[in-house]
Formats: sequence, C-alpha cells, structure tokens
Amino acid sequence: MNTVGHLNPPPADPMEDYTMTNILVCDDDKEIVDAIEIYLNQEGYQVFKAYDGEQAIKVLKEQNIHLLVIDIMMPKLDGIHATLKIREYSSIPIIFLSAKSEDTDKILGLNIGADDYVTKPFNPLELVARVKSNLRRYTQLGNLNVENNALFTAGGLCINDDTKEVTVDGESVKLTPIEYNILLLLVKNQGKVFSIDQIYENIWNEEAIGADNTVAVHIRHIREKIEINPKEPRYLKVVWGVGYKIEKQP
Amino acid sequence: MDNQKMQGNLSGNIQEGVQDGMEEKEGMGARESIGTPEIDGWENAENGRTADGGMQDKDRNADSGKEGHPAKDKKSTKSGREGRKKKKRRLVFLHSLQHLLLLAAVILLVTVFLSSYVIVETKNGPRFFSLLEQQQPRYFEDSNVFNTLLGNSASDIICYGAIRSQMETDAVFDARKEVDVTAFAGRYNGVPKEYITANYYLDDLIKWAQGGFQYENRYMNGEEVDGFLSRSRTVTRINPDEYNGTISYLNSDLKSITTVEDVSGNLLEAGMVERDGTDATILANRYHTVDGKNIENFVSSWDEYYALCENVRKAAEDLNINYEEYLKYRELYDPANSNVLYMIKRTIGDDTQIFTNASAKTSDPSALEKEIRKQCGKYIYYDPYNMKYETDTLIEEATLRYIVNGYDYAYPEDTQILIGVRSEYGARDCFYQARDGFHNYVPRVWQYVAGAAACILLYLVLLVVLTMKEGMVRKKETGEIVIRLYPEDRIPTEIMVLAAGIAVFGIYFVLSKVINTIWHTDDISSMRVAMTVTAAMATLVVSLFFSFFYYSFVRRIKGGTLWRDSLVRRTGSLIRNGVIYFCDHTALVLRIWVPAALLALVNLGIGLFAGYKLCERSMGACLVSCLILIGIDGAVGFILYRSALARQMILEGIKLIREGNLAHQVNEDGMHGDDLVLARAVNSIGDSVRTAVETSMKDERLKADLITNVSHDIKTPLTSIINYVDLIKRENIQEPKIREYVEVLDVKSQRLKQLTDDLVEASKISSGNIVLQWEKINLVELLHQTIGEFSEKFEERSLYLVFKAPKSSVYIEADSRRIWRVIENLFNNIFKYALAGTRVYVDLELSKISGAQEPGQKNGPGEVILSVKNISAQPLKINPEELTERFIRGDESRTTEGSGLGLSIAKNLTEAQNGKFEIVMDGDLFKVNLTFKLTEK
Repeated sequence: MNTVGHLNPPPADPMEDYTMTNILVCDDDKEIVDAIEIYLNQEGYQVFKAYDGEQAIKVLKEQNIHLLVIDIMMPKLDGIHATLKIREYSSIPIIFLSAKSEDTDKILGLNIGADDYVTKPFNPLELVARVKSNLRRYTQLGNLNVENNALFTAGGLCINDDTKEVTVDGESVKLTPIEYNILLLLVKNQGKVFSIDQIYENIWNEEAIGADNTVAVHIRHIREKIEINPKEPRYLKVVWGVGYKIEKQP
Repeated sequence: MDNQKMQGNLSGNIQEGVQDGMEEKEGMGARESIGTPEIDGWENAENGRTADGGMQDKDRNADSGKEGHPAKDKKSTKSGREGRKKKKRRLVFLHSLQHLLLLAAVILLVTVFLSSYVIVETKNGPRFFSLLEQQQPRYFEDSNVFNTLLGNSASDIICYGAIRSQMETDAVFDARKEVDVTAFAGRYNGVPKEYITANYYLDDLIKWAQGGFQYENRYMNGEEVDGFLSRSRTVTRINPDEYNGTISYLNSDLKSITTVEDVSGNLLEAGMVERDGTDATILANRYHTVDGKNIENFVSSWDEYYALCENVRKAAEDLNINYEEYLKYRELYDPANSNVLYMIKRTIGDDTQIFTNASAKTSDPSALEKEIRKQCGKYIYYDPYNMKYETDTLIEEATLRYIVNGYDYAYPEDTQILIGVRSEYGARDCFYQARDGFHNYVPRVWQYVAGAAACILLYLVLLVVLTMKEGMVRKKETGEIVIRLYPEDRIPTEIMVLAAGIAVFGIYFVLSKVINTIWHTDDISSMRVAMTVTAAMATLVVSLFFSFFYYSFVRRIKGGTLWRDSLVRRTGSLIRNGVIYFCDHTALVLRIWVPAALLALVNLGIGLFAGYKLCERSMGACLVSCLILIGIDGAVGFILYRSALARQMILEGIKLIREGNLAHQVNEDGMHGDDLVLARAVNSIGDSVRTAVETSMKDERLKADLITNVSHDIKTPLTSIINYVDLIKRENIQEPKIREYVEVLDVKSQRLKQLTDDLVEASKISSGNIVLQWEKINLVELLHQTIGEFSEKFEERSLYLVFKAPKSSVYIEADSRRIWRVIENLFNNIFKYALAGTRVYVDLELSKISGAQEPGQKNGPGEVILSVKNISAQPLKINPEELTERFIRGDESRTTEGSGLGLSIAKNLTEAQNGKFEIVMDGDLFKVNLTFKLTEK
C-alpha cells in the first residue's frame, strides 16, 4: 500500500519507444486474467490471454510475447510443465502467479526457469511493478557494457558512487546520506551479513556501545524506498537476529 | 477378666499376627525382627502391680544378654522395659518350674521303684525281691517276699537236716562216724538185699575226696591177682523181716538190721583154679576202713573190686560236697544269724533223732516244739506220718512235700518238721532285710505315687499353659499379638526331628550304660544313691531337651512354619519348580541339553577311542578319529557361531528400529529355528510400527494438505475480490457511500487474506509439518531489528518502547525467520491491543538456572528470558491458556484487525524451537515470557 504513491505515476519506459510490449497472462480464473489485463493495459502493455498451459504455449508460438504471467494450477497443462516446455525454446521473463505460497513452491518455480514468483492474492500494483522490473531486465540484458569502478549493481539495483545516484530497475530512488552509505556498504559486500553494530561502526565511524534501533529504522526506510514489497524484499534482506545483507543477484 | 479379654483379642488377631511375623521374618533374619518381646495376657496384670524395684540391674543384664534385645526396646520407657523384663522373668521361672516338677516326679517314682525291690543276702549271695504285688499285703508276713524266703529257708533246712543226719551223731559233728560207702552211694536208688561194702570213717572219706583218688595201672599175673584180691567176699545182708517199710537207705537205720559175713561164693577159696593175669587199675588205699582193711580185702573178683572202688569214690565225693554245704548251712541257720527256727524229728525204727537250731536246753521234742511255736509268729508244721500239715503262711503242703521227697533217703515216714520265723526278727538275716525294705516301702508308696502324680499333673497343666503362650508376643506399638520365632525355629523341621531322635537315642544309650554299671555295683546302698542321682540328671537333661524341641515345634506350628520350613516341602517345591521349569521350557531344555549331552558323549567316545588306539600304537586310527573329532567340534562351533551371528543381527536390528529407523529389516537369510522366528517377529513389529507411524504421519499430512488446499481454493476467488475492489477504487467514485462500502470491502478482503495465510501457517506448525533451519541468533540484534521495524507503527499509537538487555549479544539456537515471526506476532499483538500512550517494556534476562528438570542439561550455559509487557487497552477477561488457543482473541467482539491465530502461532513456534511460552496477566498488565536456552559459545 505504501508503494502505491511511490510507483505512481509510471516513469517513462524506454521500451515503449520502439514497439508495443506483449504480455501473455495465463490463468484458469477468467476474472483474474481480466483484472490483470486492466492493470497492464493501464500501463500501456498489450495483453494476450490464455486459460490453460496449452493455450499459453500456442499463443506464445503465434505471437511475439515479451513476458509471461502464468498460474501454476491449471487444467490440461499446469504452469510448471508449461514453463519447462517454454524454456526449451524461449528465454522470455516468466512470472508465476500462484495461490501456492509455500517456500518449496516458490523455490521449485524459480528453479525450473521462472524469473519471479507472486502469490495470490496479490497486490495489483506489485504485480505491475514486477512485470516492469522483469521486462527491463530482459530488454536491458547485455546492454551494460560500460565498466565503471564507481558503479555497483545488484540485480536491478544500481548505485553510482560518483553521482551518488541510486536506481532500482532504472528508476531513481532518493535516499538520505546515511541510508545511501548503509546501502552502499551492503551492495559493495553483496551476500555478506552485517550486524547492526557492524553497520553502525562502519557508517558512524564510532564504537557501537549498546547500539539501539537506529540502524534498524534506517534499514526499514531504505527497504521501503527500494523494494517493491518491503515485506518480501528482493534486495535488502533481513536476516533476523543476525543482521542485514544485499542478496547476491544472479 | 483381663486375661479373658486378652485371650479373645489373641484369638482374633492370631491370623494377622502370624502373617505379620512371617512378613517381618522375610524382611530380616533374626529374632530381633519379630517385634518387641511381650507376653500376652499378663501385661495388664503386670502393669497393675506396683513396680517393686526388685528387678536388679544384674538380672536385667543377664536377661538382655541371654535374650538379645531388639533395638526397639531401647526406645521404650523404663517402666515398660521393667514390666517386660518381669514378664520375661516370669516366663523363665515357669519354664524352670516345669523342669523342677518333672524332676521331682521322676525322683519320687525312682524312689518308689527302688524301694519296691529289696536286696537280701541269701546263701547264694544278694538277691532281689520285688515288693510289688497285685494285692499289696499289709503285713510283711503276708507278702510274697516273706513266703518266698520262708520257702527257700524250708528247702534249705530240709536239705540241711539230711546233711546233718550224714554228718552228725547226737546233733554234733562226728568225724569218726562210720559210713557204709555202698549204701551211701546208692542212697537214691536203694541197695540190694545183699551187697559188698566197706565202712570208712567220715573224716577219712572227706579228706580222701579233698585229697583226690590216685589210681595205678599195672599188669598182674595170676599169682599176683590171687595175692591181691581176697578169695572170699564180705557181704552185708539186710534183714528184711526186721525192717518194715520200703527198702530204702537210711544208713543209721541199716546197722541194726544188717549182718556181715564172708561168703565164699566161688571156687577160688579152695585154690583150685588159678587166676588169670590181667591189666588192673588199682586204687591207692589212702585210708583204711574202720576195721583197718582195704577195698581188695572185701572182694573176690575184679568186678566187685571196681564196683566197690567206685562206691568209695562216689561216697567220698558226695560227702565232701555235703560237708561244705553243712558248714555253710550251720553258719547260716545258726540262731544268732537267722530268724528261722526249725526242728526236724525223725524216727527210724526205734531210733529217734532230732535236728534243731533252737537253743537246746531240752532235748524233749514236744518242749522244743512248744518253744519254737512260742517264739515264732509264723511257722510250718509238717508231719507226713500222721498226715498233718499246719501253717499260717502261704506255703502249701505240696511244696513242702515236694522238697521232702527230694531227700527221701534221709527222711523216713515218721518224720516231723517244724519251721518258724521268729517274731522279733532279732537276727539281721534276709527276713530282717526284707522286712526292713517292706516297712520302708509299703506305708509310703502311695504317698510317693500321689506326689509324683501331682507333680506330673502340674507339669501337664504348665505344659498346656506354656504351649498356649509360647512364642506369642505383643507388639508394643500396635498391641497386636504376633508370633515370635527363635533362631532354632528356622532349622528345617526334619533336622529338628532328627536332632530330637539323636538326643533320645543318645540319652537312652548313655543312660542304659550308666544304669548297667550301677546295677552291677556291689555296694547296694551307694547303688540306690547313684540310681537316684542318675535318674535326676537324666530327667533334667530329658526335660531340657524336650522343652527345647517341643516349644520349638509349638512355635513352628503357631507360626505356620512347621511345614513351610520342612525339607520335604523345600525339596518338594524345588523339584516342583524344576519340573514346572522343565515343562515350560521342555523344548528349550531338550534343544540345548540333548545336543550338548550328545556332543559331550561323542567327544568322550571318540576321545576314548583315540586314546585306546594310541595305546594300541595304531597311529593312523588315532589320527583319523582325532580329525573326525575336530571336524565334529568345528561343525558344532560353526553352528553356534552362526546362531550367535543371527542373534547379533537381530539385536542390531532391534536397536536400529528402536532408534527410529523403522524401515530396517533384519536379513532372514540363513537363519533357522528360533532365530528365524525372532527375526520375523522383529521385522513384523518394525513393519507394524512403521505402518502405524506412516499412517499417523499421512493423516497429519492429509490434514495440513487439506487446510492448504482449502486455503488455495479460497485464495483464488479472494484474488479476484481484492483486485476488483481495487479496480473499483480506481474508478474515482464520487458517491461517498459507495466509497465507504468499497473501503469496507477492501479491509475485509485484506483481512480474509491474512486469515487464510495464518490458518495455513498455524496448521502447519501445530501438525509439526515445518522444517526448522537452525542457526545461531543474537536475540538482542533481533529485538533491535524488530523494534526498528515497528518503530513507526508504535509511534502511530503513541506507544513508548523500553528495551533492556544485559549485554549486546545473547545467542540462542533458533530458526531465524520463525523466531522473527514469534517476535513479530508479539509486537503486532501489542500494537493492536496495547493502550495508547503507555509504555511497552521489553526485557532480556539471563538465568543461570537452566532446565534442571531435564537431565543432561544440568551444566548447560543457562537460559535467557525475554519478557514483553504492555498495558492492555481492554480489560482482560480471559484465561492466559485460552489466549493461545486458535482463533481466541482478547476482544470478544472480534472487530479489531487480526486472525486470532497470532499468539497461538507464536506459542507453537516457540515450543517448536525448544522455547517456553508463558502468558501472565495481572490486571491490565499483559506479559509474555519467552524462555530459551542459551547456546554454547
């Protein structure tokens, strides 16, 4: 809910310039497909609809689809098998949209070739944000040939230390200096978990005596700014009881 | 009265008492175990009596030393102890009294017995006479003893009279008395009318017999014979015409009616025939006849010579014997030595002879007879000639006649015999002794017997009383009567019986030896003393032994151990158990022991065979049999090894299954018999358990799956609802009512979403269907992070959070996301229900007292307690326990946000992570305590 204001109005999409982006939405529940269509249409995407796996594969073959949102539990051919088939010839971003919210389901989905996993019931705006994010990744893949020492990236998160600019999926994010420093520290050491004390000592350059929740509050603020859904962060993860880290992105 | 009551109590309690006694006995060993020694029935009486203080310490010590007091006694009061001592002393006294009574009885009876025999001196030495008669006479003279003695005396006197007639002339010993040897030698059978004899002097014959007869064997030719033997024989003839009566020998009788003449009854006198030479046995003529002749002078032939020699010898020897008898009788029946007076008058022809021991003031028979009758209370008068028999004794005429007939050569028909016993018993002879004994015995015998009977009666009464009381003691504490057993009562019954038997035989043996020795003592008076002392000692010993065994058996019977402690029962039960065991384990016994025995036999057999062959030096056979032996033993060993291996495999299988490896199957290949059965059983148990576990797990999974699936099915339509509500909201609706409705739809649909998520989570946690990722968690860090997350939310509601931690890092072992979920739920709870504007306290406390209840964790690093406190906005009207139930919420209206699963999930997750979750409510104070174990560094 907090993200609503943040993602609105949609920033100018670089891909809109050359061509219409086609998104295939596949779910056996027609109303959900329709709802998603409405949201995506609002963002200017062309939406194709399918109601089972076989239809989806068929549409994919007939149309030039740039992104697939697919449900897992469907008649005829379920989302998992459909994805496996699609991955045999296509590398388009695939977002699973499932009522299955178990960790195992998510891991399975991501492992067999999905790029993202959204659980039902979903926040429409989050879905839209994830669609955009994945499309950017897909279309910009291979375009980052400029090697810059001051440029730190973690997936869609990009920090330019020269300009002190932070972008998430190409969108600029405004951070306070402390938040920026914390994020920079974490991004520079991707995968490493920093405890509150360590972060405090690094940023404030003084010994952490009885560190309080200052750092935690800052982290929450950063998360709220860079994450689509702060409760399920993609970049800045909380390791509860240990510290914080930026997940190493593939 | 008290006694009666006690008895009633006793009989009522005896069963319990016995049981108690037995129980106690089994617990411990000795007499101490069985309660306090108390004697029933007397207790009240004893206590009622004044403690006279006469109980001396010495006695008590002696008592305690003897009886061995239980430790319990020492606790009891002094007066109680004295009372008990008194009772014990009384018991000891009664037992002693019992022994003494028996002793007295036996001494009395022995005295009676010994008195009932008199020992009297007779001519044959001391002799016993029993004074016991069926009809006990009042007077000595009526007793059997007296009459027997009198009879013996009569016999003696008649014999003595006969001898006197041979030895004496006019009542004086006449050494020069002539003896017709042939008549004397034939006195029993009589003599022919004409016989050859020789007359010798009495003393010559006696001396000849004492000196002995010498014979000489020599050959005599005819002339010598003729010179030796007389040519005529001297014949004595009895003139029967002058003798009336039977032809019997009465030597003094014969003289007057015999004639002696030489008879030349053959031709030798004429010297016409020569005699034949012959081997002759010649009697040396030590003495000569009255006429100064020798034997050969009276005979004319060898036959006559030898006959006369024989008669001389026989007469001499008989007279010698009679002479000794004579001396003895003369001494014995001297009036100074004997109370018997006698007079024998015999008339042979005109010659009247009188034998008497009465003082011979007069020779007149009638005066003598009168004198004797005057002196004697008891007499026998026998006059066969006049057919008279008078007596005031029990001796019958036949008896006397029989005796007299034995000496009929000495007593003619005209004989009078008077025998009497002097009334005053002046002489210390057998009558005197017998009378003395009789008078000692007869008047007192009944007193003695009555005394003995009384003693025995008392003894029996005591026996009954003590039997009833024996072994029973009253427990001090409970007052109930129990049976107390002594150590000897534990000896098996049969051994006790055997010991008793040995004692009986031992006593009997020793006693018989002793009595035998005493019996043959010469000293009669010391024998009596010895007999009495022996009897007393024997009685004491017997009594002690009897008491020992008897009371032991009494206690056994009362305690019910007579049969139980018997060897027969023990052996029987041993055998029975053995048989039962054998029956129960027949297969096992047969299977183990029969092959073992067979193997041993085979080993023995082959070993012996090999040894035999070795002895025979046939090495080949020995070697072969040794190899066979090794082969057989090896095979048996292999079978045993295989069995042990199978057992080992089964054991390992059981261990694995017990440790949770339910899929484990024991390999049944190569197993036989019991091992196979066992392996199959183990496998089947494992299968059953696995099936059960799998079923149960499947059920749980199904349940969780069901909830998950249902929630999926809910979520799909919910997605549409949420999406379309959102779409409606985007439609810029102006109508405020619609906007309000849509808002409600939005909130409720969001809540439904939360609810389904929580439901799934809760069901998964409670079914244990979660996998925990254990890692080391810094609780302080976690709390800072959480507080950071919630800072704005709390600010929203003006909740001020106070966090206190002992140090910067407190590590526990937990699943990072799950522990976060716990804390998050707690904080959410506070956020929802805490009174706005209050403080929230979060405290970490370290506790060294770790879960001491759990063994093995004793020396752990301690615990950490996280307590979260807040003031509830609503009054808390609910139990802490109920709060953690699913779907329970503090506000009953359920209007606030939340699924009602928060605390339930928190609690279940905490417990899943080995923590403790506790809710404390005190007024409006809501407090949650979480306890975790600290991890080791």
